[in-house]
Amino acid sequence: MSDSENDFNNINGNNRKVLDSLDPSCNELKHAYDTCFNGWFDDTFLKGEHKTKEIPCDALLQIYSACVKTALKARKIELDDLSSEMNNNNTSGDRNDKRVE
Amino acid sequence: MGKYYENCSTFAYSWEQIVTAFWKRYPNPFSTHVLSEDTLNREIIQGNTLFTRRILTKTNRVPKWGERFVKSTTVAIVEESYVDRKTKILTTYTRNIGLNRIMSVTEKVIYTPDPSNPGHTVANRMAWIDSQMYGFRRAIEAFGLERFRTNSARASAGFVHILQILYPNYQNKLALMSLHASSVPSFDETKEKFKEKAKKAAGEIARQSAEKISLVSNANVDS
Repeated sequence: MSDSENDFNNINGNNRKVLDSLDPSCNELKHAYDTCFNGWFDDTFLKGEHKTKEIPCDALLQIYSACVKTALKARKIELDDLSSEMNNNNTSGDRNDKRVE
Repeated sequence: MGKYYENCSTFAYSWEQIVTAFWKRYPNPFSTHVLSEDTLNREIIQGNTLFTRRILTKTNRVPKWGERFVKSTTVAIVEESYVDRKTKILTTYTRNIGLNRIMSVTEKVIYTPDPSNPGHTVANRMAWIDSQMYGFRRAIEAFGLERFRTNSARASAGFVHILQILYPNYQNKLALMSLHASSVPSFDETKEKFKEKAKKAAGEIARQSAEKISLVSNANVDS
């Protein structure tokens, strides 16, 4: 096994390899948020133990996604562009894709 | 017009394992071209469904016949997912943003428990590939389809790689049990014909494009 494969395999525990944010300045927020979310997802959501619509990590997400949105703007990636079509989804997850004929 | 592609694969892991690993599937040795992932929105809808919108970036590899005129860049992908805990359905949509006129790839994947084995999960993958580049869209679409076929196999391999690390003791001998693929409408061009057309198209693009053209060759996150 090559070294790089070993790196990838170091996924359990604290030294798990994860992807970074598209902007280094958002990394710290991203990793804090992901850790919070993954814990909630496995221990609360999947077990059906969430009582409200609130996700405990929401406050973190707000700061973190603001950072990402600024970074997208700086890169001239249009958020309008990305949400226009997908925002028209119904929210049940069984969207009829416009592209299907 | 455009091209449509679908395949179906079975993972020897439970649906819960699949959805947990879904958030952790990058990086993996099969998807080294995925550079970043960020969460933009996340909310619980209808009580038991988690909606998430993420943005990913990846390197934009170009085909051999396009190398001389296409600038290599990164491309941004939007991934939207719905995890329905009650019905055990994970639905994901991904598409490239920007550069859609040249080539747009939309992918939908539905992960559900295998009806014949609740410990396994079936993934139905559908993709729509189209181009609005007058004159050579057929060639670009054919290229996109060919690329998508190869890449969806790599995506599955990468996912299995992560599953094996997260669940080393699970029944993973046959981690990816089967893969059935089909392409509709029938892909009637032979590979040789396709290559020729692609080359022709490349020449055409090179001639016409004073504007910067970046071919979205990797438009799908998983590809």
